[in-house]
Amino acid sequence: MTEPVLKVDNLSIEFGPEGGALRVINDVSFSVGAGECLGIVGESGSGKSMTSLAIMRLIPSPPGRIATGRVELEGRNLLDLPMSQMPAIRGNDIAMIFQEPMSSLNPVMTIGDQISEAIMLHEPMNAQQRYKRTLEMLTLVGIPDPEKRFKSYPHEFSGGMRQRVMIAMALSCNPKVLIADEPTTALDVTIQAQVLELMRDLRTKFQTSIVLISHDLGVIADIADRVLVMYCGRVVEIANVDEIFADPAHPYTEGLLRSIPSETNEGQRLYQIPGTVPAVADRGTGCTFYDRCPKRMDICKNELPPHFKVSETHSAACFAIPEASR
Amino acid sequence: MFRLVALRMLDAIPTMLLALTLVFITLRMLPGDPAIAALGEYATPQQLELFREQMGLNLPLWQQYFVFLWDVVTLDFGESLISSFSVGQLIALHLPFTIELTIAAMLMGTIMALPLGVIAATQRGKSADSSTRIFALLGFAVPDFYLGALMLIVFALNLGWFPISGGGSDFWDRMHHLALPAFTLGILKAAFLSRLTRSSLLEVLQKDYIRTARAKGGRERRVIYRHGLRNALLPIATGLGLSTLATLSGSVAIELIFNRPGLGNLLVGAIEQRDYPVMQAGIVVFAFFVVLVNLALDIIYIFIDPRIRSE
Repeated sequence: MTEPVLKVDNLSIEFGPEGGALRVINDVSFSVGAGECLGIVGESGSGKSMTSLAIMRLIPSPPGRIATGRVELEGRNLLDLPMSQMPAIRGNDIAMIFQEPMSSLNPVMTIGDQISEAIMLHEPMNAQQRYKRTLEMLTLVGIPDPEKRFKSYPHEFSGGMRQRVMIAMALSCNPKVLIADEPTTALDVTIQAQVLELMRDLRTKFQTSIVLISHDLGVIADIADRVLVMYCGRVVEIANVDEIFADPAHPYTEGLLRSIPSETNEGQRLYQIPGTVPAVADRGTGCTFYDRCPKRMDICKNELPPHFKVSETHSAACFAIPEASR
Repeated sequence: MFRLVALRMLDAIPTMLLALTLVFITLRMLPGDPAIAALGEYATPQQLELFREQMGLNLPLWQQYFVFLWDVVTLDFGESLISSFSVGQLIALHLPFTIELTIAAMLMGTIMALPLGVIAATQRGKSADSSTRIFALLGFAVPDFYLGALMLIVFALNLGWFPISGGGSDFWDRMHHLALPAFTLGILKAAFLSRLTRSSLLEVLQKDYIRTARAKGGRERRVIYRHGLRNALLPIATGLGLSTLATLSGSVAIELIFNRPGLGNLLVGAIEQRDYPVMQAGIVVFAFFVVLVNLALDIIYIFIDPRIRSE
């Protein structure tokens, strides 16, 4: 891998008052290279979205706070920058697509105005150039009749169309990194496939690095190069996409994979990871997956497993990984 | 869009008709004989009969109803029982003072309320928020006649900056007379409107599209005004409309304190002296304004909310 475009190091996020704060994200580290797509998976509450908001420094504060860590964009630590410099980076170097296309667009502004606003904020263009660029973006994301659609309002669009507008907006300034937080979750399957296809195209065309957050392993398998598995605000496994699916090292990842409906388990009751995600306040000193883990050992209860390398590109935080393969 | 505006205007007609019908029924249901009330208890039966004949009180009720409607349409409200002016002239004399007071008070109130509400919402929980909250509580708690009297004592009597009473003659004189009562009312309106602005802006600032606006690189000022306030305006507009109506009909105390020759002042006088034609016309005028303000609101919605436009 070449020099990473985005590098997150030991990121921890706390919520609540100083002293009594709860740590919702713990020591998350990963990096994404140019043109690479990193998938982040995990169930609701595992800290996927919080991590992505932290990269943009969009965590509502108070009560949230980035406690430790670095977020480096091409070697520059964004967390060191004064807040007043962040708007110049958001939407320009790092853009974001959100989960809820239905509510993520301003209802009283036209689609065209919302896209050209993003361009206006970052590109030195006059109104006419912006208009042209906006039409190009609309065409790029496959919205027919862009001149007419420019003047449409969000309520006149379907969910899939709105997500396309969000993507057009996010890509309008050629960001180096695109963070897509569950971009297809609210969409039906055919639209989902189209949106993923679109993201794949853009990636090859513009060498955009993508951080794709999803709880849908199918989507991840479809588009990601590497996968990061999060559980309870920690990274439990990270590997190339084929390694994860062929040879998961963490019992949690195994559980996730077993709960995908497929042809081989047709007719059987679908596997379900027992128990639920523990509340932040109930997490002890040991492995956060301890209560639900089929492979748990005594050591897991009180000691946090470090990351063990399974291969050059694959590591997982689990004591059950045999010594020989570490 | 013009079709929608025209439709809303057509909608206003039956509303107005309903309002007029209610006014008619209410006035006819009032206890007491208007003839006796007008001429006094010592009038002879002949005088009473003559009066009823002149006023059309002997006609069947449905005929009276249509005569009433026709009079309203032709703006013929008859003669005042007390004054030598016709009711139409009286209204024409007093109405402008009420309208100018309402407009000026609402303008001042809005100009004060919007920034206060935005500051309170964006500085939520900080001292600026608490200060605007105290201001609003005072505004809710202090009655208008009290604040009016206070302003009068301080700024008109003691400092002598403003006239003590009356409505003024030429334009600048009128503005001079208008300033203090409008400011008094404006402060009271701002109390309500600033709270409304704060709460509706706070609600809007939680929305996903605000996060989007930040994520695309919008600076706070842009996010709050262009994306936040623009959306928060919908409930604020409703509040403004209601508040305008309350000011039109509810500034009687201010008109009395500042002795402005407004409609409220005229009506209070008419009620005291049982000047029925004036009372009736005053109520009709207020009803007309209620319908008019609601119509204006409907039209404003069409302009600020594209979702209504495409209905």
